[in-house]
This record gives sequence, structure tokens and C-alpha cells, in this order.
Amino acid sequence: MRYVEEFRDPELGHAMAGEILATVEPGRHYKLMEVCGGHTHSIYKYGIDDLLPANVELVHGPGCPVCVIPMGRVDDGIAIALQPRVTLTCFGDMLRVPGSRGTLLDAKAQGADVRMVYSPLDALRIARQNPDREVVFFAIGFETTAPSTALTLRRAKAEGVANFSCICNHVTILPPVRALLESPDLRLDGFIGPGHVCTVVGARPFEFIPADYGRPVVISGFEPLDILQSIHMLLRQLAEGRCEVENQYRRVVPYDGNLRALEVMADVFELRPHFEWRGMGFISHSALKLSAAYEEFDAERRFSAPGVRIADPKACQCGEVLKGVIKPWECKVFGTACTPEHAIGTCMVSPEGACAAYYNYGRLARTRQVV
Amino acid sequence: MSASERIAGGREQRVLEIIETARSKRPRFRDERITTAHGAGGKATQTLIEALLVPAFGSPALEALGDAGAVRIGGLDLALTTDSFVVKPIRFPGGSIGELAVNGTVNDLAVSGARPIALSLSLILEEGLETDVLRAEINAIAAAARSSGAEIITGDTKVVERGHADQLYICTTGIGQIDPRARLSPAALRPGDRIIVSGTIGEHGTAIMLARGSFELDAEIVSDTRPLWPAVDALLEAAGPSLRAMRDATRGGVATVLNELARASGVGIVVREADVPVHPTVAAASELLGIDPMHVANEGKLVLFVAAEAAEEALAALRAVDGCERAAQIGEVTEGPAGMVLVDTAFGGRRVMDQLVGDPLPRIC
Amino acid sequence: MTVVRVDGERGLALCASEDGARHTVETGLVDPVSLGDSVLVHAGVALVTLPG
Repeated sequence: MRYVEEFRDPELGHAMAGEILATVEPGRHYKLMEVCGGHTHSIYKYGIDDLLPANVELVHGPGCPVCVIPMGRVDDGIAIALQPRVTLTCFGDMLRVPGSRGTLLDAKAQGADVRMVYSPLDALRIARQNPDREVVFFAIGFETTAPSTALTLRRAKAEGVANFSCICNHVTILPPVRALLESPDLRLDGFIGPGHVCTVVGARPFEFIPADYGRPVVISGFEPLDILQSIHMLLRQLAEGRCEVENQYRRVVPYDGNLRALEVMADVFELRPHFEWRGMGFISHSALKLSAAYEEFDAERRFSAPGVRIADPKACQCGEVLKGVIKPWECKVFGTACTPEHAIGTCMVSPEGACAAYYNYGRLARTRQVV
Repeated sequence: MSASERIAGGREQRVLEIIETARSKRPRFRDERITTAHGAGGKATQTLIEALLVPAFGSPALEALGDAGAVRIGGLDLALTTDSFVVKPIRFPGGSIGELAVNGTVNDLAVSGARPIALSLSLILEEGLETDVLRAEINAIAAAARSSGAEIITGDTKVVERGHADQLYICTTGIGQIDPRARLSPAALRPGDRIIVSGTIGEHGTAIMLARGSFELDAEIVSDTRPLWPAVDALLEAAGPSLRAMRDATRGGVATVLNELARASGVGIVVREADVPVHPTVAAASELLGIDPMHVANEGKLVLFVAAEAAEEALAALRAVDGCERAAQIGEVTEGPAGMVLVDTAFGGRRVMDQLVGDPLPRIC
Repeated sequence: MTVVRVDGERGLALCASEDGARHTVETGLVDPVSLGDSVLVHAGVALVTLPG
């Protein structure tokens, strides 16, 4: 905790806020996107907006792995959970994501054996301890958690845990970012890069953003000081006319990533030709499925599931929130028909979702300085 | 390069106002089935109570939604409360279901300003429960009752088939006499009042979660279950008329208590994160699991709202009570925004602290 | 988190945060860890060994 405490020091925070104020060009408006849901959560949890002038607008990106899961995939999870002898395991956030006819928590109330775990390794242990159950892990996450699923599957294979399988909804971060850059809707000035994804994939894959699209990127850690420092570094790049990938999270992120993790992922997974992202449509080569060598652990092969594409409810504007086109409070149903208790869309369910973060932490009228 | 003006987002402000209006309306119960979220003590529980239960019974005493119900009989002001205990596992570091069953009910009386007098004890036993286990719980109940000063004067026992009660469920009902020094009400908060907690928070829920052993996580945290009447007695003595309200922070944690009271009194609350006492091990375990200790259940902590001028004395009196040495002032009541709890983060920003809908840790009491 | 016990054979380590909570962690994706090393952990897997 002491290590972490330095990065939450309020005096240092104030000092950094002062430097940001000094770097901002008077009258200029900056739109910086934080890609990762973990950053969105931190920004609201620590009230970082309070330390920024109104000139600096933080736009929330699609980096929330729960938020981007389409309703049809939730239905598939529920269909599998309702089958005999199945124990479905998932992260806590997934329990209240709405499918077309309820959530996994509702399925549990109807008698399905749905259990929350904190890691796929917990799920594998449940499988070992319950040989008469079919234990299925509903895997979600970007490249940060994919290695964990991959290692778990490797263990399952090595130990011959035949009653274990996985529904794979892992997605990769770069294709949606590229889709955003291609979209005419947004004019972003820079990106706060996903620090934990980069511990796996490295900083190198982000070079295309300055190179092909002329936007600076700063890979950031998750403590409030990290985020403020990264914002400062982006503003300085813009002030100095530089455009490159900088690594603020140097203490953790290697330029080339974690080669072993990438190798394990390449062994256990392969890219799906395309995958539907909630609110963003189909994006090619953006998601993972189990490779041929691990087919036997693929729950989508072992069990039947509807596999139907379900359109989002008309009232839902999650797509626009995920792309940063609108702020959470600009969604027509935010806080009224769509609340954490009764969520219409996924952005309101996960703690990393922009709507949930804003509703739970940020729902506050603020006055901010204008430079 | 200095700040030239301050602006507030006009459209955003209007949206926030619409949301507050929506939140302040009486909720409707829209779920088709009961889920574990309804048992968590958070928003789902609140909706169940306010939309499904309270309207059915037409009782002003119930509408007050205090920890105990008040009733006047033959000139005596009495408090009545009831609680069921379904904690799993039944034994955990720091205690067991038997202790919770006494302390939980006795504490609901205490924080309502009532000295606990008598308890009823209802047992639902699972077929196959080992007698030694039952005996141990009965002894725990007896010891806790002696310690609390309340007498068990009546009870009931049922047995259900294997698989229907997780070893045992307990229900206790308690009656107490409201102390003449107490002038407590959830609607009594005034701007400027100070908020005090009686010690470090988040221990009970964390201890249960670790005892379940379903996570590869291990730390020495014990439940904080204890009777709170001694603390309440000391507070009534030191600051009686200045005490506005008290709650024991069980399911849903301190965050739930603050939100409920802010709503009941139509005031705002600001908490200073740096002043909230949390044991470092609880903080570390919670951080690992992505849980905020403010949302985690306690079983021996009270939250107190006291007029500013009496806060120092109240705090001193509390700290002199066994087990409350780490009592601390954590925030204050404000004019507004009404019904909202805000946190000044240790980092210097400000954010909202709402209740959770459900609970990441089911069946903790 | 800090490594407090190593099980090299199974590629696991018991790690503890400074204030006492302990966690079993997969270590197959980082160079072999020793007692006292600091690691960044996600979903039960050590992704990076931290400096110092």
C-alpha cells in the first residue's frame, strides 16, 4: 500500500494540476480519450475532473469489456447455464448484464447454478472439486485477462480436467480504437493509453496512432497521479508540436510487452474473423476464440446455444457512449429509465462502464475553471 | 494563463435535477422474482421494503424505517426489533451465527436509544445438523446474551429436511425500553452536524468472505461482532440531547447508513475519505477484490450523527469504551445536495458515494 | 504484491500485499520470481515483475 500511496498524494496531485493549468493554451479546447474502463473508473473515483480546467475534456472510450458484450452473447451464457449439471462461473460484473430476457442473476433465481469467481483459476478449482458438474467459465476481458484464461486452459489440458470449458468473449483493444479513428463523429486530440493491456501487448502496437492518424498517445498507469501526469504529457506534446507514443507507466510496461503471455495466448486462442461489439457493430479480427488445439474446452462446441444476434433496445444509446460521442448524462434514458438497479444497457452495469462510473461517483454539478 | 472564469454545465445540471426528482419518488417493485440482490441491504433491498412491504402494512412506526419500531404501552416507550441470521459459514474468524443473532438484534435496539431487556430465539435446524455444532451455538448465544444484558425469555424450534437450511437459521426478536436521554430520529439531521464511526470498518464482511475460502486470498481479519449498548450508554451520558441519530452499519456498510439518513432527513452529507478508519489488511484485501470498505458489512460498529458543539465530547466518550478506541469523526451534514452523500477523496477530488444495488458478498449475516 | 513463498514446480507463488492479504498467483508469464520480489497481478496471474 505504501508504494501505491505515493501515487495518491494530494499535494503532488495539486502540483500536477498546477502544471496542467500552466500548459493549457488559453481558449483552446482539448478532447482526450481514455481508452480503458479502468481509467474511467479511476477518474470518477478520485474526482480527477475536479483538478482539471474545463478546457480539458476527458472522453470515455470503449475499453470496458463487460460493456461491449452484445445481448445475444449474454443469452448464450444463460442458455448454457440453464442446462442440466452445468455450473456457470463468471466475474461479478457479468451477473447483471441484461440479455433479451433477463440477466445471469435472474437465471440464478430461476434455478441455474451461476457462481461468481475472481479469476478463471477459481473456476478450474470448482471443476476439480465437482467432477459431476460441467463447469463453464464465461471469459471476458481485453488482453489483460486473456493470459489468465489461456494459462487456466493450459492447466486444464495438462491435468485432463474434462468437465471444464470456456465461453470465450475476449476482445482486443486496437481494432475498436482504429474504428474510432476512422469515424468522422469524433475529433480527438490524443489518447490516454491502457496501462494494463500494454503490460501484455507492449507500447509498440500503439505506434500506428501517431504514425497514421497524427494523434499523440501516452500509456498511463491507474493511480490518480499517473493519470494526471499522462494528461500533462499529452498536453505538452500538443504544445510542442510532437506526436508520439510516450510511456508514463514505464515502471510496469515494457515496450515489447510480455512475450510469454503473447505466446501462451497465441497457443490457446485465435482471432475470430469478426465479432459484434455492442453499439459498434461488427469489427473484424477484434476478438478471440479457442484454437483448434483447445477445441475440446470450447463451451460453444460442447453445448448448444441460440447464437442469435439481438438488437439493442431502441432507447439504448450505449454505442454512442462507448464511442465517446455523447457523455453518459446526455443519453436520453440515463438515470431515469436506465439506472444501476434496472439497467437498459451495459454501460450502467459494470464499474468500468462510463455510465455506472458517472452515476455512482460523478453525478455532481461542478464548477470548473476556464483558461 | 490563470483561470478567467468558472462555469457550471447548464444542460448537465438540468439532467442531474431530473434524476434527483426520479430518485426521490417512491419506487415501484418491478422484478418478477427475488434474487440475492434483494437480500444485500443495498438499493434492491430498499426497493423491496419501500415498494412491496411498507405500503401493505399501513403503520406510521414502520414508515419511519428505523432499526427498531417504537411503540408506547401504558406510558412506557418501548422499542421492538427483529432480525434473521442466515450467514454462511456459521463459524468464522471472530465469531459465529449464535453471537451475531444476539448482537445484531441487541444493537438495533441500542442504536434506537433502547436498553435491551429481553429476546426471543427462533431456531430453524437442518436435518443432520451435528449436536455438538448446535451445542456450541447455543453456548455462544447464551454467552452473548449474558454479555449484552438481555434475557432470552421465549423461543421456538423447527427442523427442516436436509438441504433446506444450511445447518441452521436463527431469528431473534428483541424488546427494549427507550432511554429518556435519547431524542433520536432518522429525520433529525441538521446541516453542520458531525458524523462519527465507532471504529475501523469493513471487517465482518471481509472476514466472512475470506472464511468462505472460495478465493485464493488469505488475511488475518476477524469479525467485529460485539454488543453496542455500552457505547450507546456512554454517548447518551456524554451528549444525550445533542445526539440526532444512530445506526449500526450492517449489510450495505457505512455507505448505506449515510445514504438512508441523508434521504430521510433531506440533507446532504460529506465524508472525508482520509479520516475513515480502515484496518490496513481490510483495505488491502478489499483493494484486491475491487470492493470499497464503505460498502462492506460490519457487526459491531455504529454510525453517529451529533450536533457540532457536542462532537468532541461524544468522540471522547466513545473512545473510552472498550472496542471503540479507533472511533473517528469522518464527515458532516450539509444543506445539500439533498439526499446525496459526497466524498472528498484523499487525493483532493470529490465524488458521489451511492449505495450498491446488490452485494458482492451474499449471506454475510 | 510481494512474493512470500514460491512453488516453482507448479509455477505458483503466494503473494502478499504490504498490509497482509495473501493471494495465490500464477507465475508462468514472468521470469522466475524470488522471495521479496514485487509483481503486478491481474485475474490471478503475475504479468510483470516490478523494479525495486
